[in-house]
Amino acid sequence: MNALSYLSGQLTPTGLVPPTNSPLREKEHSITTPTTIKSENDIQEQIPSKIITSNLDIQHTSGNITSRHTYNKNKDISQKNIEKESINEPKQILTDAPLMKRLINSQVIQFIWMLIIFLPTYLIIKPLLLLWFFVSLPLTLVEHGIKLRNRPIMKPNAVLSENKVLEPITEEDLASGDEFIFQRDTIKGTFIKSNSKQSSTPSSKLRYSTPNRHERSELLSDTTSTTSNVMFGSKKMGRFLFPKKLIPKSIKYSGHKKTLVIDLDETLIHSVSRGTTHVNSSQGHIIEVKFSISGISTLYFVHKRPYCDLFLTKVSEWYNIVIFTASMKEYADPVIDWLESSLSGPFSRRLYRNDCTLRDGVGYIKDLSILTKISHSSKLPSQEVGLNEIIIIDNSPVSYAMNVDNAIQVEGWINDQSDTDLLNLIPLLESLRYTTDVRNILSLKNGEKSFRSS
Amino acid sequence: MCPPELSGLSSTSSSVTKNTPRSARRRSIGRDSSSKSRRNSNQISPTSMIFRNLLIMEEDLRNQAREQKKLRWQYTGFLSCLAGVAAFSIYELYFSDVVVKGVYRFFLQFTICFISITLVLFHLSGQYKRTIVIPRRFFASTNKGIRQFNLRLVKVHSSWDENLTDMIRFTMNAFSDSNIWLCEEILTFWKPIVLLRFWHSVKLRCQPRIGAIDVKIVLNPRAFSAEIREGWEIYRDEFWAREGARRRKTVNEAKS
Repeated sequence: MNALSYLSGQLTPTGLVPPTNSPLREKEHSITTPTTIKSENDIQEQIPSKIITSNLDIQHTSGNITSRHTYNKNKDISQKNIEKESINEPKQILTDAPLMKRLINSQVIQFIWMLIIFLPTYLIIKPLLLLWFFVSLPLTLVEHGIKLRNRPIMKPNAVLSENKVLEPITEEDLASGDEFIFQRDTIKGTFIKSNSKQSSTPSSKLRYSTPNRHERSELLSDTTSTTSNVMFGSKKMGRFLFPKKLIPKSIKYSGHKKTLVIDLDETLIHSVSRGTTHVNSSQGHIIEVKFSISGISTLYFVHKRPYCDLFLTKVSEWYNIVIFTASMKEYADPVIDWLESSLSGPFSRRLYRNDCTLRDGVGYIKDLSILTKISHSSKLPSQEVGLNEIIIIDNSPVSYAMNVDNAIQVEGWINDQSDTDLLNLIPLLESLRYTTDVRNILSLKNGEKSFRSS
Repeated sequence: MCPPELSGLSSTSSSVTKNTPRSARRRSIGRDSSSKSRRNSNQISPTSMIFRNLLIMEEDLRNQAREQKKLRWQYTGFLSCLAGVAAFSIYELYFSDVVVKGVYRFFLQFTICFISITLVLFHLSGQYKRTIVIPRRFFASTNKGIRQFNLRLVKVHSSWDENLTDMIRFTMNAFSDSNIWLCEEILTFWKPIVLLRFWHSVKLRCQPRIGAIDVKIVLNPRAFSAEIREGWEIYRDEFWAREGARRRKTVNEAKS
């Protein structure tokens, strides 16, 4: 019974024997046991005091033990003795020292029981629980934070939701309900100060707690009060609008690819006619070009730029590739065929010199609007391409002079085998495939000007 | 930490009493949302458009960086395992005092041949370059590519406690995944719904961190003023904070 009561966690103060006393009590126990065996009458006399002094549980156990002894010897005597006990009770309350020892003995036994049964609890279960507490502490804190912060937000959300009902559902980008007004600093340093408050723990804020929109807007409004500037938005940056989804569904799941326009000569390949001496001329791919006008055929040794195949295979997964070259069709076609042979699919379009715009004194300019026109006139209306989805890669700035904001400049390549420009462009092109407007990124080459012009 | 009721009260009272600018802002939002249908992409400031596209680009680069890192570690592990097995076989055959005979000897020789051929093919097929060399140079190469746009990709070093929480999140996520799988696939005869619900909630809580945690884009200070650079940082943090709030909200809705 005692063990059970301990299991259920009901540790009585009497059960907890101070550990310093326990060895002593064990000694006493060893001394006293012979005496108890000697005289049974004594034992029988000792019983009542136990019954009175100790609690009920102890009474039962000790009583049972002693009665077992006596039962073997003499039942009648024990019965008489028990009767005597009830009579002699008041006399022997605090007089007998051996009685106390017995009581202590039973407590020692309890303590040993406790050690045997409950040590595992303290050694294994409790440490494990503590460990679990530490492990789950961050999660608990997060949950706590959410609970705390969600409630005050509920009201404004309810107000906003009324407005949201009126909003057109079709617009999923840059909803004005999510706008964030950026306060320009009029007094230098104030903005930075408020910013440092926010950005000192941006990471922890992001991770462990719900970002408190109100807190931040209050912070901003505090900044406005300190700078005494009530005007919203700044001349330079305008208002911040936040998308509801990072990548709009229309772009991510439609499977629609953007268009990548690539130049041929000195961007993807380099070719030398047979007459010129070249170091690698013997190793290049030989192409015979027959010009229909003059009727002269020329042999060309064509070399691929390093990583050209890897580049084209990777990029063709993400973009519709258009080869736009300023060279003649007669020359370009066999080269493009050769390039295509190492690809799984064909290029989506080929454009040659006659598709370029010739500007006197400048050269051939590749006007990308021709691609939008072509796609408009094409049979598939879904293939409509705007300038925001066209990227041109070229080595000569003249070529993309009309669409600077769509261009990625590469170094012209002739014979450098350690060149990695195409390889370097792969991550950039991969990251541009989901953008809503490539010009926003590609115009950053102009620096701060790109923020002023829309 | 004040109780939620109190904090709610304080926020409303503050909006009434002290923040006239804020209330003005709210009014402006209301006005804007009513005229929302008229808004088109031309009216959105170029800054927002640029930052938004930068966010998309950054997220994609982040995924790429993770993929490359994973690829590199996977194949490094694979190659080192092969090398270890090969080294053991060579030691057993030629350097050990014990003479190896019979089938075991043949097996060891076969292993060495097999591994050496595999390694040679691995190198010749360009897999070594694709899986080890290029991922190792990912940052350098990407930065060369985006340098002309005055951008730079940098690693964000997270502190040990963040790493620890990441690890805990990851392990708990994997653990709950395996438990859900166990409950759903193996214990089909007795569907422990309570357990399933519990593990689903654990999984929801152990979502990986979001935002600029390992990789981020910074604007080149030579080309952009401090204001724009700070604006970009704020924009990014704010977006991810909102995104986090949105996700947590959906989690809460899913729970309730």
